Amino acid sequence: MFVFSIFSVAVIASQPSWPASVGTTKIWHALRAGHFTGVLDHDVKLRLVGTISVGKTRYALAYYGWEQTEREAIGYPHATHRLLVFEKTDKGLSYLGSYDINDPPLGVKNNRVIFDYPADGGNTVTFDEKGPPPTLSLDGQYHEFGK
Amino acid sequence: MASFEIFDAPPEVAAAQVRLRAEIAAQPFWLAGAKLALLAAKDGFNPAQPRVPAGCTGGGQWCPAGGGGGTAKLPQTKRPKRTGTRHEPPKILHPIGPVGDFPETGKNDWRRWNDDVFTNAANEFNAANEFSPSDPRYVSPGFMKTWAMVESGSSADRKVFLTDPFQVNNPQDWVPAKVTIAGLTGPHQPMTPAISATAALKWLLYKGTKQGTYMGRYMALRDYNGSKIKSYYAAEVMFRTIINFGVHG
Repeated sequence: MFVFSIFSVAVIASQPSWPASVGTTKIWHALRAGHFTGVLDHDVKLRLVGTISVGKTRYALAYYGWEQTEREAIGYPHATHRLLVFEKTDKGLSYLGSYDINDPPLGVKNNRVIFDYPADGGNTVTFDEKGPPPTLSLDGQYHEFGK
Repeated sequence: MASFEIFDAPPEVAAAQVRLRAEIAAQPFWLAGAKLALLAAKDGFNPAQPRVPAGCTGGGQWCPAGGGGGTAKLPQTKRPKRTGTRHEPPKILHPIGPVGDFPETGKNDWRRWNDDVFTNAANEFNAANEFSPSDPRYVSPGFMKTWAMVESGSSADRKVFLTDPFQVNNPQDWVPAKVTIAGLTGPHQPMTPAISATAALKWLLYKGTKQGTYMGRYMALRDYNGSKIKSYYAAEVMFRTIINFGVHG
């Protein structure tokens, strides 16, 4: 686990911060245009995780976190987390879909999005020529790709 | 680099790893329980004392002492005019009984209106999955009612309690997987307590299962909620269930 943590830090450090060409405003616009089914309000946190190139296709990955404040909540606050997938074209970002996740990802390395989970239950989302995988396992839990 | 590759461990080693991770992850549950016990031990402090509901002046604050159980005088706020269909009290065939601190007599009678729905949902869920009472995934009506009370049982949340008591289809935290896993149709699906209970149980089972192993109700509830205080949420549901309906509740 110690080795894993050190490596995790290295992965984060190796990732560029927000590429100048992808900003939160563009992400918000792309989500609105792409019929995103989640909420886009003041409780949303958006963070670019990184970009992946597979062949001629370029993807941008972002973390979406929505969490109610206690004042707004009925009973306990609820929260949801997603890994957003966009295709990057010359015209801008196009929202492809997302995965419901339990924790924010660490970053991107090559063609993989990496999570801080043990490897045995799955800790990566690997993109190939077919695009984002329709289903995957993260920390032993099954996840689907959807809007 | 190699640490990210799938580790091909023998099944017994993998199972032991899963159990160990569950035990480590359950630590916050016991810490939360200890914290609750300490709070309860404080002179004059009742952790179950109701709070002023969200949206009211002073929302989130404790109600005045002695004003518990939904009968407290809340800060004066102008309530919107009641619109839509009034809910008529149903005839309850299988009363579950009250969850402490959530009275269900007089004007709080609505808290027992879902009792039959909870009982039916629990029975159908157990039967469909062949869960016996000794199975950790087995759910009882008492657990269902306690869970619903923690989710939407405060006096300000009556409307939610009578439509989506488990808040499984809160449009704000909608995710597409709820279609295939929880059987919902979309974030704006009209909800009833029966739809809510059935979907919530499926979603809870999904959230609690990793690598094909059920991680326990505490872990399932934590990921069902997902917020920063998910450990407290899970602990409260579990403690209230045990206190009101016993360890098998």
